[in-house]
Amino acid sequence: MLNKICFAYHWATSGGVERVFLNRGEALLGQYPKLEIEVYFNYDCGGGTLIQRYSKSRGLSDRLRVVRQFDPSRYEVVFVIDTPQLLTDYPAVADKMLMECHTPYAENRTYLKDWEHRLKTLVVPSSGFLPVVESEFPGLRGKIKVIRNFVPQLPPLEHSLSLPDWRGPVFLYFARIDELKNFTEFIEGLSAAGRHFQTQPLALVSGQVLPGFPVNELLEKNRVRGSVAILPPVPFENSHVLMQMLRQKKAVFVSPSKGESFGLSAAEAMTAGLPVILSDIPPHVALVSNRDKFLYRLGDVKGLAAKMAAAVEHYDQMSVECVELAREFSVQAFLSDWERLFMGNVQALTGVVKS
Amino acid sequence: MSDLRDGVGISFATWQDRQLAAILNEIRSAHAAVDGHKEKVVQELGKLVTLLSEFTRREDELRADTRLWQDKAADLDRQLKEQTALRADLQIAQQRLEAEVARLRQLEKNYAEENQTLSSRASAANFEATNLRRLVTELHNSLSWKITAPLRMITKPIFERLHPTQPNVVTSPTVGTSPTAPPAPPKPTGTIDVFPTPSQTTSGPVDAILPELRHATSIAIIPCAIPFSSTLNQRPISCARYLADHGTTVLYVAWQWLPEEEVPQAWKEVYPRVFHIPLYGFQGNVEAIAAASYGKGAYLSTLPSPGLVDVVRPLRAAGYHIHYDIMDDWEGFHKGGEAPWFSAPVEHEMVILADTVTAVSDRLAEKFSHLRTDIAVVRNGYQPAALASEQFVAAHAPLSEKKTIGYFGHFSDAWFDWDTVLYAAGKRPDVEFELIGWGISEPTRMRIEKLPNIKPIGIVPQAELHKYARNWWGGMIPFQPTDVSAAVDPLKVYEYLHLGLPSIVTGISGIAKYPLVDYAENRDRFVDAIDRITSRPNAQLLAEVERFLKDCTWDERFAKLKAMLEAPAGLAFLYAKR
Repeated sequence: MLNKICFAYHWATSGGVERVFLNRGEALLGQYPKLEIEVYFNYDCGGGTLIQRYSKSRGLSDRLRVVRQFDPSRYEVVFVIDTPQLLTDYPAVADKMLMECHTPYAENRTYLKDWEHRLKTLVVPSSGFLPVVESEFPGLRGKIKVIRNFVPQLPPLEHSLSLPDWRGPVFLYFARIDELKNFTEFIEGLSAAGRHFQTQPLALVSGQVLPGFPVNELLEKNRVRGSVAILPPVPFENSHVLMQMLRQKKAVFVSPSKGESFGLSAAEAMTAGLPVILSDIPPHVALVSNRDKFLYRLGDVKGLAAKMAAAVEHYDQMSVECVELAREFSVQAFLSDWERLFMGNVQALTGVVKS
Repeated sequence: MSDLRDGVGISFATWQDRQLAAILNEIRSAHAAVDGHKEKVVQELGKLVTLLSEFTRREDELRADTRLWQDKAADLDRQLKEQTALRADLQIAQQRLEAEVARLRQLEKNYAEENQTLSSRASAANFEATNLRRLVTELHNSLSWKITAPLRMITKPIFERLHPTQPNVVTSPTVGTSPTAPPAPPKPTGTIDVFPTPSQTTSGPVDAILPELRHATSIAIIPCAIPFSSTLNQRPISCARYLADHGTTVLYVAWQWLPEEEVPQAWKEVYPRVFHIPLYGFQGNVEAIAAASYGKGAYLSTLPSPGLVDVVRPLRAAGYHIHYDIMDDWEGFHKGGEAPWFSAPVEHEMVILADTVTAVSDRLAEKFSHLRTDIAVVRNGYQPAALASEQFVAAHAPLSEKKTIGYFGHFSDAWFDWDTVLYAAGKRPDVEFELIGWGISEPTRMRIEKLPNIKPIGIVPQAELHKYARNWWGGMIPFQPTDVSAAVDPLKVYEYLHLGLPSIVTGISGIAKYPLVDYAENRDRFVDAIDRITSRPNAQLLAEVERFLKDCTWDERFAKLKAMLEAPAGLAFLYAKR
């Protein structure tokens, strides 16, 4: 078994990859008492501090830490997530590297073109994402392995916390506000859903706004300004708090995303018991085991609105179903993938093919 | 001459001699006795003198001892005073040291939080940078960009001539690379801090208040349509005063129509812990203000203008509690040609964005109940001390000979019901209407001049109102029956009640059930209500008013508001600094 590993990524912010590091770290350190994990970022934009703080708060700081100097020789395996630059700067890492692709943005994974015939293994975070990457890079066919992302068990919510007593049904959009995550379709769906309800449906939006994205114009065009509360991005350690508070308000999670590698926010919502309505892209389909009631055809605004209304109508039943489905991406699922991958010859997985 | 005495048969002379001799003997014996006594007395005196001299000596010795001990006591006292002073100095020094330690700890904590805030902002900036890079990548990968490449190649020299490369341009820190177009940062040298030296980049008057914010344990930002004045009783001003009096540092944001519009005492401390901030200065520096807010922050929005709703996002990200206080029917004002900035969807956005919402009247709470059901009604109030008179001063004064109905406040044609007042004055020429305040328009002035029983007084300081009001039989609040009126909670009704005056009200149904209020639905009912006032309120009524007014002071009102701001709120919790 592995004793010392490193997760390396280009940016330290407070995004999805950093959350994956923390989730994995907590699960692996609980499972393997001798394991030590270090995290390295090329550029620290503040996320390093957040990880250190989180690690300390969970009592893990002696075994899960952020390092500022990268020394590949210290590790048995270096997990390189969408950061090929690291191999240019540190060629020695090539022998023990396990490259992972997590980015849902197609243009940001074009780097794999240079690696598809050289890598021994590429790791992706969901079985739904595997065929997407495989179709883009046929040279990786048969080399792609899945280590499923997961959502850790949610800590209990403080009883005194609650959200405002909004009157209408509440829909949550929890993603970057840009074209890939398809905020436009969410707003159009919200507007169209209005006719299904007697009271005006409300939306809670949390996410980074792409600079220049015409949010207000979009809201006004769809006549929903006044029904949408746009929050700053919620710090990742509190996303589960928001989800659990929204469960108390019987909110529905909606993701019209055009691209996901796993769908971590949707998975978190399902774990918290929020019914989800998701676009029918492969990673979403995988999350909900292809159950139609949770999916709508991407681009079909009327279909989205109808599914949103149905989720409110059958809330309790869909909530229970989501919690059941969420077991598929529990920590046990991740650990099972991990053990399957690393129980054999690690060297057969890592590094590049010698030409 | 001879005589016989006692039958002894001796002569009188002989008897006289014998008697004399006997007396002399007695005198001699007495002298002898006196001499003996005298000698004894002298002896005793000698002893006494000796004793006295002994006592004198001892007294001198005791005096000397006393002086000695007094000197010693004085010396000890001086030493004690010196030691006490020394101890006091030491205590002061210790307190100073403790305060300095606490300050440094707070500073350390503040810097840690500032670091965290700046890190978050850096993170956000990075997201934006990543997104921009993605856009550039998309552009570079687009067909149109590739098709137009030859054209750019041809035109490049022209653009280079038009925009020559500037030498020695200091570039901003590179925040990263696109996977497809990586720049060449100096590597490998370990992690690069994208924002390695966080610092405040603001400049200008806001810098003067940032240190105050950094040291504040509690901060409130309160926008208001009028500049701050410690003598005014308006709700946001009273709220600012109340919170400042309870230890909160208040940024009082004064409305401006244009950035160049002057705000009196801008950026200055206009009341202990209340800082006067021009609107545009606030909106332009909200990021810096948010970043410097280490204490628990609250944003008390009273004006739902788009700009003042936009600031919610950075304040929310900095952990501020967002509160919307609905103090007027802005939509009604807007329809009446006022509040041109108003937009109903933006106000709705504010209602749903806020952690907590209050309204001054049931009507306003009801107006937004389709959005949320937890809007608390916190009515307006008054400050008894500002009226400078004891409670019920008018009720305790005898009724004046002439029935007088009074009013104080603003006379806006937009809401003051002149028609009703003029109608009543015409119907009851024997009743006088005393009008105190400002804002009577010229056309209205011409109308009221025709009625001799309407007496405009002009502006009277609040502390002197009681001098007029004690002669009134009642107060009036004649407002037009509009949406704006229906939603208001007039300050003056509390002041009329404090003075002990019955009040005749039109247009404001929300206060119809207040004690001593007679709500008139039309002008005839208004006249009837005037007729019904025939005496001062009795003791039972005044007792009821006294009980009612206990909850109506600003202190009572804002205590409720403060409790709402301090209670745990779900949205605020997500961003709270811990």
